[in-house]
Amino acid sequence: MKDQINAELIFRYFSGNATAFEKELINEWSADPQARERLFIWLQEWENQNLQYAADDENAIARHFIRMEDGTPPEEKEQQETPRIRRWTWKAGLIAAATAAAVLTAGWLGFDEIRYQTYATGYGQIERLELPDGSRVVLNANSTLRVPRFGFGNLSREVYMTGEADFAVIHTENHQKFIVRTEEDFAVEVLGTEFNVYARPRRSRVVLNKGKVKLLYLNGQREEQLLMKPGDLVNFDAAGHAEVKRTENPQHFSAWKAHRFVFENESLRDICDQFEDNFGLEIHIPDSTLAALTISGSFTAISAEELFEILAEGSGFSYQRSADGKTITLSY
Amino acid sequence: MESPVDQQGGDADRPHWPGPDRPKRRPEMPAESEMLLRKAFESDVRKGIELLFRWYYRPLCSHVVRYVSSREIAEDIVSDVFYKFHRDNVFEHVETSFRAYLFTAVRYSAFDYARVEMKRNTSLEYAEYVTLQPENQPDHITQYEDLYNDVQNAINTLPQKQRRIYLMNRHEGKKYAEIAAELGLSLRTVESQMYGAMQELRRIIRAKWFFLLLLLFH
Repeated sequence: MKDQINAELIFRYFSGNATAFEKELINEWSADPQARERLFIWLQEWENQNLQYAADDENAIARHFIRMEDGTPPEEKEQQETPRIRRWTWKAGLIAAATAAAVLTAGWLGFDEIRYQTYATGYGQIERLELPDGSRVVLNANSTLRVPRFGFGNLSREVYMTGEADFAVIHTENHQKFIVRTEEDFAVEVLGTEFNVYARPRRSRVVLNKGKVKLLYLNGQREEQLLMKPGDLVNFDAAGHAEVKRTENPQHFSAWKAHRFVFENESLRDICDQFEDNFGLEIHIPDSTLAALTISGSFTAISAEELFEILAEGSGFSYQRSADGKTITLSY
Repeated sequence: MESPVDQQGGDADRPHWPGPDRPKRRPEMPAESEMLLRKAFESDVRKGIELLFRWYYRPLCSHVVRYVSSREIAEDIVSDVFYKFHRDNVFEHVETSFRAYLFTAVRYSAFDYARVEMKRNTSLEYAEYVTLQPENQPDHITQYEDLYNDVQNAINTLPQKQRRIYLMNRHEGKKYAEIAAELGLSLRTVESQMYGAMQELRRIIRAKWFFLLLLLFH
């Protein structure tokens, strides 16, 4: 049998041109470890002769050693520069402090409007912010962020949010904690990392891009803690149970920053739930098979309708918008 | 001194072990081809790893891209295998040639990738990324070649415009915006063509491989 196996046959086999009989021969022959050694020598030779492309091995070596040192894969440099919308300077801080003094004497401290700067986005809006400590936040549609006007970065770093936001937190020299509090019975505590928080009544989720974060959450009546690693994704259900998953592409969960939607195996119903929250729509899917259809892919869309247009074409469903434009119905 | 380039040639006259009482020990290295590599590892692991990359990274990426048809994913898969090889000091105890280890490992991963892909866009079950266990490899080595050849054939059945966009994105690693600019199309056309292409490829591959892949890995 060995005599029938030669480079010519194997190369033909690699190219997809071996007969069923020849494949059978190869299967029997390759059960032997030495034959497999021979097979891989030929495979390497064949690949070198028929390179699909010349991969950059020097770059790969460099990345490999960085990864060996860090223990994490080297960061993809896909971050587009984020234009600053608001820049908080120490001057603004001083003015705020002066105002605060006046306010204090007036005895108004109890009012949240005074103690916190509140940012809010409407349906379909995205806003980029920079906090006094240099940390950056991108607020997704229909979301709010409250930041203390006084003492932020000195005494503590605590913010309050609803909706969805993407955080790039600066690690301070004195290792000051940064805490994100939500109304959904969980908080995120970090030193300096990048992560995405989704905190809406229907569902809550934290995805960690890099670094480490500590999650504090209420499970029923119990307060619990959880340490997240990069690529971890934690979902909370309504009862407060945390479910930890892994994602290969944590950055996909922040794609909305560029009006991109990246779905990894998400059901059409889940996608529509997010759209209802982000765009202030009501979306009906009467057909349960259609609602359960799972979708993967990346899309750019400013509105829900634009997205449905693309999906409808690829997946074979149609959508109707009601006369007042507030309700969308999807059907086969 | 041998150079890496002539290492890959044949050496048809190496001894064969008779089949049944094949010893458990490491098989004789055909063509002594990894001597240089082993020596490099003995003197300095870092040098050894560099040499390993220079010999094998390209053919491995070229091989994996046939299954996953994305350079980026291929390079991730291959780099992961090198990473584990180094991190776990596999070079100290591997029973086969480094070459056979690396090719076998990347082929596992490529197959596993296909399995995960297969389960996307199906309501049958949720695609959990389960790490491949060594005993779950396909029964026949020829299934590997069958799979990547099927993937290539499926790509060839796509309509020309779709195929072009698909290859520009997956093979050449071009961003959707770059493709749109190059072909004079809107970004959304590129995205919907890509989505359509992915759906179609999964449909074709799933028709033949779905049950086999599920059986193999569960």
